[in-house]
Amino acid sequence: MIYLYWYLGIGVAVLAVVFGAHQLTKKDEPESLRDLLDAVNPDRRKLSYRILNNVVAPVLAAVAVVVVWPAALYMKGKEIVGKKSESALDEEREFAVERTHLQERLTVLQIEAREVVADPLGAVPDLPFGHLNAAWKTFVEEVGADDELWSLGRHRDGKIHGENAIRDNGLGRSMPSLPRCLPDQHGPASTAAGTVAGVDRCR
Amino acid sequence: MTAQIAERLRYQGEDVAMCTNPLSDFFAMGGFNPRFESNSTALWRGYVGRWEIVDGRLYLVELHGTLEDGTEASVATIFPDFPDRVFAHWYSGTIRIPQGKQLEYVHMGYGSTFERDLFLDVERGVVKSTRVRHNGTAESESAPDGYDVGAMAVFPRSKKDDAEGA
Repeated sequence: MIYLYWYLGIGVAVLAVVFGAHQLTKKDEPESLRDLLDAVNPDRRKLSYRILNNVVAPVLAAVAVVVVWPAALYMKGKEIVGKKSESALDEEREFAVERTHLQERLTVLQIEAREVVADPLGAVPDLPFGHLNAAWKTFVEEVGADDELWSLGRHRDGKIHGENAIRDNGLGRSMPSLPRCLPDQHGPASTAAGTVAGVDRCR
Repeated sequence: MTAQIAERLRYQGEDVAMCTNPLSDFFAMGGFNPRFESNSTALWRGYVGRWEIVDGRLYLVELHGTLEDGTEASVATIFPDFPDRVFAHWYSGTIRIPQGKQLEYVHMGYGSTFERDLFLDVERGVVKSTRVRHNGTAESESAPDGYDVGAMAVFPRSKKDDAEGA
């Protein structure tokens, strides 16, 4: 029997430490977040939800910690190890444009003519690239007289799309990849001009 | 990283969780990004969008979030000329809609697994095909039904303001 008392006593001590740590680190839910979560899940406003969330769940958790405190310690340790391994996750790889991604040389007018987006509900501006028209305009403003515009391939679920610019011996100017879908093929990609300018994400 | 609050999608008359963020692509492509405040580990992106599929087309119809300056954000914050409905023509990819009971809770991103995944293959905002992947059957009858976030930490805005004002 004495072992049981010792076991439960350690459980109470673990609970005290866990509760103390929680009190020290807990943050009140900001009003903006509360509104957002309420909008996502209207049940949060119900009394039954609040009782379950604020009373029943904490009491059950406290009892569980006292009774099965080794499991609580194990889960905490696992969480700490998990955090360390998460930090080692690879960053999303950047997609460097290559000459093989070039599809077809185009003019600004040609691109704009085929990039007008239509919607039966009128939920998009009647402009080249629709809601991304401002991004397109910014890109065009940066295109120099000697630059070439090429449709650009980007691998994604077997599809490639985008537009990009080539500038003599220039590399590094970036632009957004605009949602132009092209057939899944690699067209001729030779050019007398210099290097492809621009980067994009690859997924 | 904590499991993330999902986007919401109105699909075939039902409101479902959507474990895909089409607005992220919009921002990545150079669309206006008003800089959302992230006040919870369960919502690093700082907003929740409500989407609809109407006649096979993907629309953003509602947005909740807070900007870094503390103002509330809506669809009009990003698309001032289209405050009620925005056609997501920029989005090409696969939308994931988890269905059924939870098989495994993963405390990271949209990593939790469910009995089924409904995938919508979207090209330039238009749904081209749908498919269902069966991932298994939950062993417990009491397994959670539908997507939810298990735990999160929140960051109080007042503390941040105090620090900035100091």
